[in-house]
Order: sequence, then structure tokens, then C-alpha cells
Amino acid sequence: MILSKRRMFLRIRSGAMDKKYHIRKVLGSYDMFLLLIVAVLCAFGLIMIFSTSYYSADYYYSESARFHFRQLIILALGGPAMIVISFVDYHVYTKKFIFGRFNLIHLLYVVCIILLAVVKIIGESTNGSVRWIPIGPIKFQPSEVCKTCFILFSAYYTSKNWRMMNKARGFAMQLIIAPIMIVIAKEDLSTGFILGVLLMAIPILVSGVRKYHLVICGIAAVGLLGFLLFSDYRLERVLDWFNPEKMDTASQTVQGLYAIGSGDLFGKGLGEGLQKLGKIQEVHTDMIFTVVCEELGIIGAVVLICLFLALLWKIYSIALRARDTFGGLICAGVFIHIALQVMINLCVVTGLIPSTGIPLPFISYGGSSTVVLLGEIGMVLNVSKQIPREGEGDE
Amino acid sequence: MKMNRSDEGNLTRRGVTRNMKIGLTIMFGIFVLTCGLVIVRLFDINSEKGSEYSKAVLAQRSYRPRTIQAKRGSILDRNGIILARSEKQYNVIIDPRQILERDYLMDPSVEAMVDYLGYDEDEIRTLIYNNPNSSYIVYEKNADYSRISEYNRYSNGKQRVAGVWFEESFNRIYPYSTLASHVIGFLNSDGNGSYGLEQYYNDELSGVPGLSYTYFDSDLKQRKIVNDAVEGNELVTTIDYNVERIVEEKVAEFLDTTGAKNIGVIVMDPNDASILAMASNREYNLNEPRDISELVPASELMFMSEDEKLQKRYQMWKNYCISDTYEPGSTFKTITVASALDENVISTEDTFNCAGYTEVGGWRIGCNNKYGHGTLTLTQSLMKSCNCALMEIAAKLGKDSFYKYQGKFGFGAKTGIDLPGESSGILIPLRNLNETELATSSFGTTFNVTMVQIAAAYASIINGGTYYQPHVVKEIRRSDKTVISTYNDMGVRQTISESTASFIKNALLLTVENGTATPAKVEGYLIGGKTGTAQKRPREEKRFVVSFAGFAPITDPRVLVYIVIDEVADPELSASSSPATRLCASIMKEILPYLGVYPEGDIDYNVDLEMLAGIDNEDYDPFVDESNPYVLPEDLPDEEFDAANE
Repeated sequence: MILSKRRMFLRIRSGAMDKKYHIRKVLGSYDMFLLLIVAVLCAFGLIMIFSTSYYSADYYYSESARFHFRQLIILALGGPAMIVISFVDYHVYTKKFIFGRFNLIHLLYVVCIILLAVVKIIGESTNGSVRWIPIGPIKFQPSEVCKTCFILFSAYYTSKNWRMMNKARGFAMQLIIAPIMIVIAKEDLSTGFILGVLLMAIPILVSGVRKYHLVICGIAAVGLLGFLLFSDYRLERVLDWFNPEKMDTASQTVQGLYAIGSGDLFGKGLGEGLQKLGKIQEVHTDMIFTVVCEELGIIGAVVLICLFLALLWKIYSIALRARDTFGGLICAGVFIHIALQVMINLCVVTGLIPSTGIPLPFISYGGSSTVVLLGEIGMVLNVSKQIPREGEGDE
Repeated sequence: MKMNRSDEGNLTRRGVTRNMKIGLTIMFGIFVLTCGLVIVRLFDINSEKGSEYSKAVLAQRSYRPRTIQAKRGSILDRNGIILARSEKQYNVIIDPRQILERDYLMDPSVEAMVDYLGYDEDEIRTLIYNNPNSSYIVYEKNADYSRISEYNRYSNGKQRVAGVWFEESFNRIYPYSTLASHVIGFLNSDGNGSYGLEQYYNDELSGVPGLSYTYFDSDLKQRKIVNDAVEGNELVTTIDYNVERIVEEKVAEFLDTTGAKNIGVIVMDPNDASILAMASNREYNLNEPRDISELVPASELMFMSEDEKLQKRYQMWKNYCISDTYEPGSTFKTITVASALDENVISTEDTFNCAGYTEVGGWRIGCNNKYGHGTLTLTQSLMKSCNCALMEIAAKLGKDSFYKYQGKFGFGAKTGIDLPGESSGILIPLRNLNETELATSSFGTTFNVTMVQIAAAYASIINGGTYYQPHVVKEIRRSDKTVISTYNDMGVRQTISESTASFIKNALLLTVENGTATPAKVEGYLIGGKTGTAQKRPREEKRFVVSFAGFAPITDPRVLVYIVIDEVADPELSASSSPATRLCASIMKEILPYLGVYPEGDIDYNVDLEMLAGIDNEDYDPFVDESNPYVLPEDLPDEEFDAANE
């Protein structure tokens, strides 16, 4: 570091300021390619949202670009937010500035609890589950913020107490955040599941798999089974999945499969899909991938999957090269978050697992999800920015 | 960087551990595998179920075709006056499925319906909740346009108001409500004709409904096809609005003053058997065909069962002129005489002797004048309506010829008039037509006919011997007035020779001028006609059907009026044909000038009054009506009649 400073100083002195070097100095190893992939994904999503929603938006709201326009606004706000976050040193989150004891992660934790309480009280229900807080025209989904909270908290706790993570006590300590997960899981099982995986996987990345991890996994599996058995509609979905022939043809899953099956290799062409015309409800949200298959064919779907592979490859490689455990774990958390959502979404719409509502990151319409994801990518970008250059190791 | 080191030193102390690297790599591997699995699954779905799902997608897109109602053709009288027409109306259709599709649609939509269409909120909500899968409920028919436009103005652009639309349909309007109701008929709830022309010509009138549907072409592009409805054809009837109106007025007047169980009047143009007017009992309001409050007092109506009401309606809708059969009585004598003359078994110069009764096959059958008419010419036998003379004539004619002429004149079979519900009447079959039956049949008893049969038979005599098929419609034309078919020449066969016809006409003139039908006389006109009185079964009850068939003017007959009155309410008149003759006179008096036949002046008096020679006018007592029971109760047992009708 000292050397490099001196070198820079010398260059300025000599008046031969290397512009390239200057940029390098400001951006570090800032991952432009990751930024590009995210931008491409968002653009892809924006186009698909218009294609899938113009009919229903016109039908119900007489405003065909309604969802397209809203998503555009969300990206216009979320994109700059991502850039800003990418320039905020992620170590700031750990700085104890409140009474010298609490940092931003603690604050985020408290905010999450408050939001969940608010959702319980004034939340609006969609399809029987209370998940939204209406803020004017915006429907805010606190469970999305909780995902970021879990990533940060788990990464922070695990990297701070890495010595203790080998012991059951150390692992158990971080479960202090678990109640949030249970509250969310009651309303939204799949989000709860993602939170649970984050809570398990991040410590395991540090400590390796231990006996107590398996015990906790066992308990979680039993709990999950109980959830399914005691909730009629969840059990129904699972049973539906086992007997696809008996499934009501009006169900979203079957209509989604119709869309996928009618797309063939090259699809019907962008905007030419038929299933979005009233057959698949709210197709611009969770079911958007089916229309990608219908309109752009298997080719389009494979291209989209490759974009996700590239995105996750970038996050994966940033995680491996992160300058410290905390940064690495943040990337791992974001990786798990995005990978899980993509996997669950794709498997649900292709009928590989029982139906559950998870949006496809960056593609599905949804303000809270997109903004939170962009924020997380911002953090990953900041981790990438701080990747030490070769021979520039951090001690 | 100084900051974070000072803050949480151990955050940075360890880099990315080996554990992390292995873990992340495994996770990335899982992700790659899952993506591979999904891609395989995509190929799998497309190759295995691809065509099935593609078809399913298209199948569920094929929208239910929507029919476009065709405008029903009008019904006009012979001069172009509209008797029935269709007017565009709007039906309110509620689509509960659309309303229930989104939670937020319910309240604003119901509110709009309550505020702007004036519906009951609870009723609408119940309707929507009870029919969640229905998309098409006709909630109101013929909604007035002002409410519809107000609703449209309000709902326009409102995203949360849905589930109501308006369907165009047509409303049938009968401008003269009761006029010719039994001829025109009405529409039932599904828009098809019931009774009358509406039923008989339903296919012509209803047109071809259009269809609007959506399909997908070979490029899977959505295409909308609209096949416009074809308007129904127009009927131009032979009914004359004014004649019909006059006849109905007279019938109503008769029912109000005298009253009867049934009454039917047919006014026909004898030259082509086209119906100028047809009235049957009380006409009903075609715009409210199910309303029987005119017939039944409100106090009774309240306690009537649905079935009783239905019976009452059937009775009200029935067209007495074509559906009911009765024994024609003496009006049939004209047919017998005409048949015998035409068959040359008698001549116009023949005379007959009446002793007041005739013994036939062991039965003693009385004449209407039990003291006997003495010696009668053929003309006189009709004028005085002598049963004995007629029995003699029928015996000369023989049963085969008699039966043949019954057929020639169209008895025992439907006339084919273009109205539904026609009866064919009942004749004594040839094998049962023995001496006695032939004798009683000669003066129109022991067999049943319909009014339109008698009218058509008389028309054939009056016009000189051509039997025309009676008809109500003279022309069917498209909505653009191009004529599709005409029914002007409906001649079927020759019944009798022209000379026979002219003899009969003159005889009938004398019957009115100086015979049993003198009340039918109208000053200034020469009218021919024949009365009839038949006793209904069982004979003991002394109930009568009286009738009169009259035509005018005698030289060039323009109109035939046939009246049948079943059970005149006034007991003093019940066995007399005078109610029928008087009614005919009152109708003739009004319709003849309307039809351009004016009294006196231009009447050509070429009747051979020499025919009257030999008739002792003193003998004729107008107060001895021919309607005295001519067949005594003991004459023919009912069983025999029943056997005859097998």
C-alpha cells in the first residue's frame, strides 16, 4: 500500500499522471462485467414484463404499460441506489455508531422486526397470505428486506466469531435472528425456507459441516413437514404435484406448462404468446418464465439461464477473492439468495417441485424484490472493488 | 481501511477459507446441475407434450361464439299497414365470473349497477355469489336506453367497474295490440312464434342469426369474424286492416249485448279464398299475450292455480275459426244440392214433396216444419231449408257420389290454410255411410267440419266452381322488399260447373230475399246466403250452433262472410239463426262500401225473378224458423254416431 502510494505520488509529481491508473485507484477491481450482466437481466425483465402484462393491464386498468412503467421507475430508483451502495465500504455496516454498541446491521434487524409487526397489523393480503404493507400506490414487502438482513447479520456474526463457529454454542448464538424466519415462514413458506438456508449455510461455509448442523437440519425438516401437513393449501399443492393428471386444468401450474410446451425451440415470437391473455393470472410476476419459454422458445430460456449462470459465476468468483471473510460471506449470502430463488422459480414453473410463489430475480415484476436484489448486488460490487490486487495483499 | 481495522479487527484477519471455497463451489455446482435439469425438462416438455399443450392453448382460446340476433320480419296487412314489427332493444347481461375474478371489482361494480341501473343491491350480490362460474346472465330485458347510456357514461374508463354489458336484441311490437290476434299470434319467451302466422311462418320471419367468433389462423394470429345477421322476411297478408277492425267491433258488440260460448267470423274473398278478416271470440292483447285479467275477474284470478290459468290461456289463444269442429247444419244443404246438380241426378226443374218427415232405414226423420212444406221446387227446398227434399236429393245422389263431393269440397281434410292448429273435421267414412247416415248428412248433421272448410267450399260455389286453398299470406318478401314468393293463384280443383254455381247463387239470393235468411238483407245490396242451425250433442240439452254464410254482391261476388255462433247466450234466440244473419248484415253494411261496393245505383239487377214463379209467398212465415229440431233426439243413437266416426 505504501509503495503504491509513493508510486502514485511520484507520477503526479512527474506530471505523467496515468489516467488509467487513476481510474484503477478509484474503482479498484470493481466488477464492471457483473454490472453489465445485471443491467442486461433488468432490461430483459423489463421487456418481458411489458410483453406479459400489457393485455391484463389494459383489461383491468385500461393502461397497458402500467406494470412496465412501474418497473421502469423501480429500476430508475434501484439502479442508482445500487451504484451508491457499491461505493459504500461494506465495513461501514459493522461500525458501532449507535451508543458505541450497535451498528447498521443491528439497526436493520430492529427495522425488520418493526416492519413485520406493521405487516401483521395493517398488512394487505394477497391470495390469503398477509405479505404487503401498502405505502400509497406501492406495496412494500418486508420479507424481502429480511433476506438482506439475514445475509448481513449471518455474515457479520459468523466472521466476527469465526473461532466459536466450530462449536454448537457458537452456531446456536446466531439463531437469535431465527424468530423472524418463523414469523415469515408462517405466511410465506418459501421465503422462510430461503432465510433458513441462509442461516444454516453461512456458518457452515466457515466451520464445515458438523453434527449439530445435521441435527438442526433434521429438526427443520420435521418442522417443514408439520407445516405442510397442517396447512390445507400447502398440502394440496404437494399432492397436486404428485398427481399432475388430476390437477385442475385451470391451475397456474398446468397453464404454465401449456405455455412452456407450446413454445417449442424458437417460441412464438416476442409478444405473440397466448397464455398471458387471461389464462395465467399475474403472469408478469412469478410465472414470467413460462411466457419466456412460450414467446422466445427453449433458446430464449437457455439464454436467460446462461445469464443467471454468468451472474452467479461472477458473484462466486468475487466471493472466492474477497479480501476478508465478511466480504466473502456477504457474497456467499447474495449468491445463495439469488441461486435459491432462480432454482425454486424455475423448478416450480417446470413442474419439478410443488407450486410456491417465488419471483424470478430481476425478471419478475416486483418493486421490493428488485430493489433489495439491486442493493445486494451493490454490496457485492463493493466487495469486488476491494479485492486485493496481486502482490498487493492485505498483509 | 483504517476504520474497519480499528472497528472489527478479526473480520479481516481471516481471508476466504478453504471451507468457504469448497462450500461455494458445491453450491455453484448444485446451481449448474439444477439449471441443466431445468433445460432438460424444457426439452422434455416440448418434445413429449409439445403438440398436446399447443393444442390445449389454442383450444381454450377459442372464444364462445356470440350470436347476433336477426331482426324478425314484419307482418303487414294487404294494404301495407304494419300489424307486427320488431324494434331494437337492449338486454342487460351480468358476468359474475369477471366480477369475482378480482376482489376489488365487486363493490364498485355492484354500486354502479345500483346507482345507474336501479337494481337491488342484495339481489345483485346474491346473483353474483350464486353463479360464480357463469359469464352470461340476462338480468333485464328491454332496458330503457337512458339508463344504459347513463351507466355507460359513468363506467367509461373506470377500471373497477366491470361485469355488465348490453346486448342488442329485438322486441316484438303489435301496434294494434288486439287486432287479428288469432291470425297473427305472438312470440314465446325464446323468441319463436306461438300461434298464428308468427308460428306458421316462424322460419321465414325469424331470419338467420349472425355469429361473431374468434379463431386463430395458421400463423396463430387472432382473427375475429363477424357474420352479420340476415333480417327475417316480411309477410304481406291478405288481411284487410279495416275489414278486420269492423268485424272485431261487431263481434265484440255481439258478445257484449247477446253473448255466446264461441263465435267465429271469416270474411273471405271468394275469388281466391284469401282471408280478409278472421275473428274468433274475444281478441287478446298480443303485446301481453299471457294476461288473462280481461277474461277472469281479479277475485277469481287470485285463487286460480297455474294449471287453471294455463288452460284459460290456451282457450284464449285458440282460433275458433280453424281449430274447432261442429256439425254445419243447414249451410251444408247448399253443398248437397250443388253436388246433385253437378252430378246431373237432379235438374233445376225437379220438384220435391215434403210431408213433414221422411222414413229412412227404419228411422223417422222430421223436417224443420213438422206440418210439411208441401210441394217444393229445388230453389224452394234451399230457401225453406227443407230436410225432406234434401234427404230425397241425397238418396238420388247415392253415398259414393255424396262422399266424393264431400271430398271435392274439401271436407274431411285440412284445407291447408297457412295457420297452425287446423283441424280436419270428421266425416262418416264411406263404409259406414248407410241410408240413414246419408239422409242425415244431406242436411249437415252427423259429421263435423271447421269454419274454414265451409268458407272455402262456399267460395268455390260463389266463384263459379273453382276450389281455392284458403290462405292468409299473399306475399313473402325480403327486408329490401324484393318479393320471394306470392300466393295469388291457389286454385286447387274444379268442384262444380259454372252453370250449377250460378243456379245455386240465385237460389241463395232468394233465400236471403225471401227465405229463411231475410234478416241478412242489407238495403241496396243483393246478398246471397244460407243459414244453418245444428243441435249439439247430447241432443236433450238443446244447445245449438247457429251459422250463416252470406256473400255479396250477387252479380260479382266480392266478399263472403261466414259466421258461426256456438250456444247463443240468450235462451230465446238460442235455436234461431237470426243472431248470425243479423250480425252478417251489420258487417256487410259496413265492409261493402269500404270494399268499393256501394248500395243501389250501380247494381246490375239481372237476377231471373221468374224463378220465384210458383212460390206462394203466403206460405212463408218468417217466424217459423228452419231451426226447429229436424233430427229428433230419438232419431239416431249416439253410439251410431260414434261408430260412424271411428
